[in-house]
Amino acid sequence: MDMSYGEKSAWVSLVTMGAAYAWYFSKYGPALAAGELVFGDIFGALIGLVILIVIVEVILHVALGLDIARSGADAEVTGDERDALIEVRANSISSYVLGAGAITGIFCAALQTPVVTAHVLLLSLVAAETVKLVTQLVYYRRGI
Amino acid sequence: MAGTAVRNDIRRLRFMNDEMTQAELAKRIGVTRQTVVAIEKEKYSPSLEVAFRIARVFAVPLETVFSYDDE
Repeated sequence: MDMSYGEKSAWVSLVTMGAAYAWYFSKYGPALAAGELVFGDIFGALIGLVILIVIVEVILHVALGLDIARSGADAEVTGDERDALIEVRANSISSYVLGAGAITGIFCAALQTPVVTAHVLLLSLVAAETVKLVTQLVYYRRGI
Repeated sequence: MAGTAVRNDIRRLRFMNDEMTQAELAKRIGVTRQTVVAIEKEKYSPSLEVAFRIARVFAVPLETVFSYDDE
């Protein structure tokens, strides 16, 4: 399948983030839902997970960038107007998800424990980023 | 989401210009090859600047390259 750097980058981020947070919520989700989770249980795992995501994404994006730089196509490396437009539109759509999550977080802060509220906000960030990446991939395939 | 009302004749013009490849055109107008593919398939309408650059590459007027189908 013929993909630009922007499209490949979106796939890398979607798969990396999806796998990482799918693991995290499958591991700690049940305890969170049962109200048995405290910050001490998950703080280290969460920090470690974020660091791992960053490291994996950096490595994969550098590999992608080197591969494209070898082709000598400058626009591929820096992105062009279509890449920029797709990113702006995807960000715009994902902002609604983030906004809804933030509002939910506000209500949670009043009604739930700090751990639950923190995870609602985390889930909002993950959901918004997922919506952004999926939207980008749809635009790349179907047109914009 | 897919499809645009802006039509183009880029593929024919490329072949008429020493069978220029999509990659060559992309490099000359400063976009990715995938963007040239999207423009030819009418899945993306280029900016005015890119449209003018395409016309300049083929040394033809803008209206020879692009047309607008508002039906």
